[in-house]
Amino acid sequence: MTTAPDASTVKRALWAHAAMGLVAGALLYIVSLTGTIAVFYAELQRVEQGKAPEMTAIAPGAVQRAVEAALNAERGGSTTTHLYVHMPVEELPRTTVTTDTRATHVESDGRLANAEEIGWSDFLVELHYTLNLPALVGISVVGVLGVMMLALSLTGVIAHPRIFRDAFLLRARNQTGPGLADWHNRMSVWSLPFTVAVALTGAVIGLGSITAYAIALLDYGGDIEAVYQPLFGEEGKPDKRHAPAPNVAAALEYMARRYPKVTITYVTLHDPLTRGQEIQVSALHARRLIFGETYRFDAEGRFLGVAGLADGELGQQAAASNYQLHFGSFGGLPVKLAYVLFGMALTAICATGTYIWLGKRRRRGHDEPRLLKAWDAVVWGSPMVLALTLVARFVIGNGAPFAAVFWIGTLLALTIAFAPIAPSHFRRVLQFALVVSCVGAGGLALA
Amino acid sequence: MTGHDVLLAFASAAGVAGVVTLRLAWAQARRSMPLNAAGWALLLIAIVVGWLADGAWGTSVAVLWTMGAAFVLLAWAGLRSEPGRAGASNRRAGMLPESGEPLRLGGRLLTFTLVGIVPVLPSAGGGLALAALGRMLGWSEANALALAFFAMPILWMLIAYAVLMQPVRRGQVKVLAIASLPTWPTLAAGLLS
Repeated sequence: MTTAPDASTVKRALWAHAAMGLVAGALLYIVSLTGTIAVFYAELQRVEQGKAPEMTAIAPGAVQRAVEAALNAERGGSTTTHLYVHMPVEELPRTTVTTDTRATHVESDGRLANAEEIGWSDFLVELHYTLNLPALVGISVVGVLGVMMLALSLTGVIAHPRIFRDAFLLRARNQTGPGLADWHNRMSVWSLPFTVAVALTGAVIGLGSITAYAIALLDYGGDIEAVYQPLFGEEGKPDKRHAPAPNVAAALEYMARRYPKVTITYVTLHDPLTRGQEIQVSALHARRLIFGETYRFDAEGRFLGVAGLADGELGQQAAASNYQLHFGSFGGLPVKLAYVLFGMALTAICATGTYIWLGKRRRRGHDEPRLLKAWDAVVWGSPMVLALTLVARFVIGNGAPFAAVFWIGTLLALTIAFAPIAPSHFRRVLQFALVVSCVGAGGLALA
Repeated sequence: MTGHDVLLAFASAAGVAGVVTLRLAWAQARRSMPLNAAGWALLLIAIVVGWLADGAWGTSVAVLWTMGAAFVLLAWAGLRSEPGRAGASNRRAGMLPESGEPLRLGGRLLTFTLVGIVPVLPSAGGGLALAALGRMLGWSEANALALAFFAMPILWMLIAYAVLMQPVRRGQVKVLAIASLPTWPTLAAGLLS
């Protein structure tokens, strides 16, 4: 008895694998590349904006002063609907207050400091999340890419009956084709749990809006926010009548007394300066995948309850575990380094897939130098242009048009690929430009 | 060192040992069932003990150690590989036409639509149907909703796979029609409620 699929299934699976890989390859490559770099989103913010007050902890009274100062600074305009205080944590030891219109760093005594300027870090994450498309469309497209990655994993296993048997065979020095295929197949099989985890969590996050919309339409009278409440907890009832600033300090003091072992990451105010305002404190629990438990307080800082992300329904815990599992932020630096390693492997898998296909066609007599150069433009050109966006950050400033630089630069590289340049020369130039742009960006970051 | 730490260390060690055992098993000239079984069993132990140590977090950490060990062995295999000129596989994927074959651009675009766009309906419908089933079984609303959110992309993946595995267009349409079946009663129930 054999469990191997029959020859026609294998052949069809190979076709399906190639079809999906070729159609989605370039976008999958960009999403994998940016996801790998975005593992260090918190650390990149410190590189991007070196001059900001840092602290290992902040007193509840200081947070209260910062919140009141930030709300005062909003006077004259429309009151912010939400206010977030990022609390200092090990990977980003900064306190930052964010409203609907601005983000400001905070001194350890609660005085407002300089404006947060992390335009490039945010661009990187947006590129990964939405490909810089309008939010809902972009995140859905990236969600579909997650589905394609899952399907590629499935067809890849079925299309290669010996994929497990040969799982340790790596002819790295073979220059005639098997070497590249070995790299692709071996990295694929051994990073399979990682690939499935990031693809599934990414697809759930990306397609969540569509699923929520469908559920809201049929079961919740079109109220999308109501769909998320059983999972992530509810907000207080809105009451727009004016009220004084909420007592955030009391909430934080309660947290310090009752929950000294959790790590507070965010304080969120819903509808501040209204009678319906509510304080929510998000806190990480050690050795858990959940992004945190939400502790709810009224405007006086009296404890109302928890959302149940840590010990509520299984569905709540699973939904809350999506994000850290996707971004690799659940185990400090060692897990981040592991995510970078496997993320690089996944990016290389995306790159090598198309090279393998082009190589097979060349060996069958279909030499396609322009297609090869176009793929080189994606593989070597897009990271080169991404590094140039970081150069733009340090040369032009926080307001540099990062998305325009990236997409126009990548399109330019693709256009040049169709010029009469020898493929080997084109690739060497791109590789050289990549090294130069990375060194330039690194040098500017360290300067 | 707490009991959790000890269990997690054991789970991670089992994962690493599982990879090493499989390396030995798959290096044999003939398939070795005992070694194979031992390797897979150790990987299973890593997952289960990781879960017992720290739930999903523990399993995730143990699996990262396991993958890390495999990458070390791969790197070793790569370093020890000798320059060779073994013939490459020329299995045809059939994605672009060979000389003289038509490009069939319309057909390719239709296939893309049937895989990359159309399944949004049956997969969302299937997710909703599963959530409704969960509610009927007495699940909490949170569990039913979480099932819908997780099921949607998995169903899409399965539908995309099934559609692409069909050699003719009629088969692809049939797959989509069958996949849509759970959507209709869910849609009707939602619209009528």
